[in-house]
Amino acid sequence: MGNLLSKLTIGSFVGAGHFGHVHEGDDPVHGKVAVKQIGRKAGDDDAQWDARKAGAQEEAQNLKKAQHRNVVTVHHYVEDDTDELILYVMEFCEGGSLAKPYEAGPISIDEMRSIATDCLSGLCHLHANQMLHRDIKPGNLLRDARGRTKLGDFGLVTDRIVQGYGSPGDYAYSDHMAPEVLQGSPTSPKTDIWATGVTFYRLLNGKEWHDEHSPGMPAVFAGKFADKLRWLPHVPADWRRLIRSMLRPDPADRCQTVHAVEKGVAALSVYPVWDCAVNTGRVTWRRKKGTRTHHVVWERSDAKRSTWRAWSEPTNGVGNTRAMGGTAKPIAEKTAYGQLVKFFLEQT
Amino acid sequence: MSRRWMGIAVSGAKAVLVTAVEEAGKPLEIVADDTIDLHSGDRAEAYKIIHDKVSDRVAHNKVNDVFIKASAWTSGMKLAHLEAAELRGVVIAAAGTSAKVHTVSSAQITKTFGKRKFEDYVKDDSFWPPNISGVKLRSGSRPAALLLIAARD
Repeated sequence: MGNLLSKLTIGSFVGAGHFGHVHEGDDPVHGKVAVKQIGRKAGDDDAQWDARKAGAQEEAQNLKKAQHRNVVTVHHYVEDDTDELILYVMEFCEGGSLAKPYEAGPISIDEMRSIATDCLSGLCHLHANQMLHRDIKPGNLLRDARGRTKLGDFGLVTDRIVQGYGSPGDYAYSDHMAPEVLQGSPTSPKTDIWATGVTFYRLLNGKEWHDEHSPGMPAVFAGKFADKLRWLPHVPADWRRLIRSMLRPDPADRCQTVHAVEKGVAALSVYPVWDCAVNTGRVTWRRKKGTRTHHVVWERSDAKRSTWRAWSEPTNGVGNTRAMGGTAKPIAEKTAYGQLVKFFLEQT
Repeated sequence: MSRRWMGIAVSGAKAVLVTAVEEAGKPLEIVADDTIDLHSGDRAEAYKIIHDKVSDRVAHNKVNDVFIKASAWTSGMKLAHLEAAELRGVVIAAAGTSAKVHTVSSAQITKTFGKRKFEDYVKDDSFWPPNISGVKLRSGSRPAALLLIAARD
């Protein structure tokens, strides 16, 4: 038997991650696939490269255990004949990652619960098989053609690289590192729960709001991260409580297992559903209720002169507009925020 | 040779799952005791989710046999009874994806296991210590565990 050649063809670039580039591919058996290419680094000597290859191969074998409907399937592992490249051939997720939806704005609570349910189901499966993800963030949650969310990019991350999140290149996700990891402890199921909590916070509030309000790594170090989180006013109290319970600084106080988080998610409110958009200085909400559409606009470009207004109008455009609440004159942003929290709480 | 069993008790909005190691001559060793709640909101979607969770839990715990209390007719049946029966069907199907499922009626348990009624064993605090070991069993999980104890006899 001669050398065996794969009929895999590599297509267009999809994205870049820690470990190399991801391309679309075409596989004779699996059809459209995602191909992650891990190349030999310029500084790698033969021993280092051999060690990396051996580690990657071992990891590919471990990934077999992780097969699950909410985990991206790894079909196979290939080394090219130049000995310069490793390829992971994986399921292609048509819906892409949640990085773009996160950047686009807050995700509504009904969609968010579906994402959370899928994400936790995949994470529970990894933990049940004594595996950790170690890199949960919006960009590593992928959606298939049916809209099901799957965990991707797991099993390749080591504790050494997780610690590397503190480096300037990865600073954007430094708050995904649990306090105990920052203090030098190894990763654990509870550090995955922390990162999942931060991910849920990000997705519920969107990038614009997160970047403006996240207390960041200093608060993680100080053990004050969960207390200092600021939420969009429509995010219900039960969601806030659950996510805070995933972000307690002492691992002994944090949600102990993914099962515990799942139990909390099952009871979360998924109504009313507001579509929210966050722009610089302005937040808007909209929802349909019966024959009417409700709107809320919060102007917050000046922290001392904030205003908000809520009204409803007929969805078909025929009929009267009705005021639902708002400010008579500009007020402090903090006061407006409190009023908005109360307003959303009263909506049914 | 030991086997891993799971007892499941289903009500209208949750399933209680008790996993145990069964080995002849030893008390039943409880290894996991947890509850899966039905998601609030759309019931059809919630059934799909609980199906996935139960089938995962059976697989993760490497369970060989699952024992589920069968639906029973009662006078004055209400919607809640029918919804519990719906959920029981979903759970039975889910458990069957990787284990053998046995549905067990209360009458069967009483006849083959002891002289008292099912509920009497559940309430009797002195009954439990000699029959089980392992992780702490919540009192609310006793009906699920009793299915396993009954299955041994």
